[in-house]
Amino acid sequence: MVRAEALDAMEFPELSNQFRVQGVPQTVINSGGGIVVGAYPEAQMLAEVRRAMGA
Amino acid sequence: MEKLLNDQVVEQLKQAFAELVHPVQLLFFGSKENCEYCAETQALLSEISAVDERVRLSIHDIQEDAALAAQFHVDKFPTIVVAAVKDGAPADLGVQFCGIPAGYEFSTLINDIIFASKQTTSLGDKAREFLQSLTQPLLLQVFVTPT
Repeated sequence: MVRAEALDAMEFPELSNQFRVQGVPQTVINSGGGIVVGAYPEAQMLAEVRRAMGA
Repeated sequence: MEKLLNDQVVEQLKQAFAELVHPVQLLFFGSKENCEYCAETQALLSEISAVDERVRLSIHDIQEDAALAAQFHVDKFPTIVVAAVKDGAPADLGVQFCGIPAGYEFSTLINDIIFASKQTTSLGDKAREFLQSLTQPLLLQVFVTPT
């Protein structure tokens, strides 16, 4: 049910452009359902994932 | 090809891999065409896997092994799937690394291998409960750079 990918932003410019990656790390939740720029603490990241999933 | 990992890094890896519990399988997916970092990524994985027999490596071509790539949701190259081993076969954990794990990202891959081997992570209870309760798929794509 959960998949996680780390992607080299430089090697996959099409995806980086699609999600407007300007700084790293940037986490894209469900292909744009949510976008988190920067390294968030676990609790905040969880809140963003919940929000993106409408949970 | 010249070694990518020097003796000091190999020694550190040996120490880090002392924590390993279960075998882990790395599936490398590359392409013979238009892949700037495939050869280097494959060489790097060979050197990592040579450090500890519990870190197994299989090499695949994304076109020739299209069915396997689809099974592990691989659509880019180079991609490294970090899988568990169940009954001698790779078992998908939903974890992959797209691109060469160089620079800072080297330790990301090594930590992924250790988590996969221990079959646990450092996640807290709240996050675990939420993830276990999911009824819809969740895809997290973390864009990174090696520097």
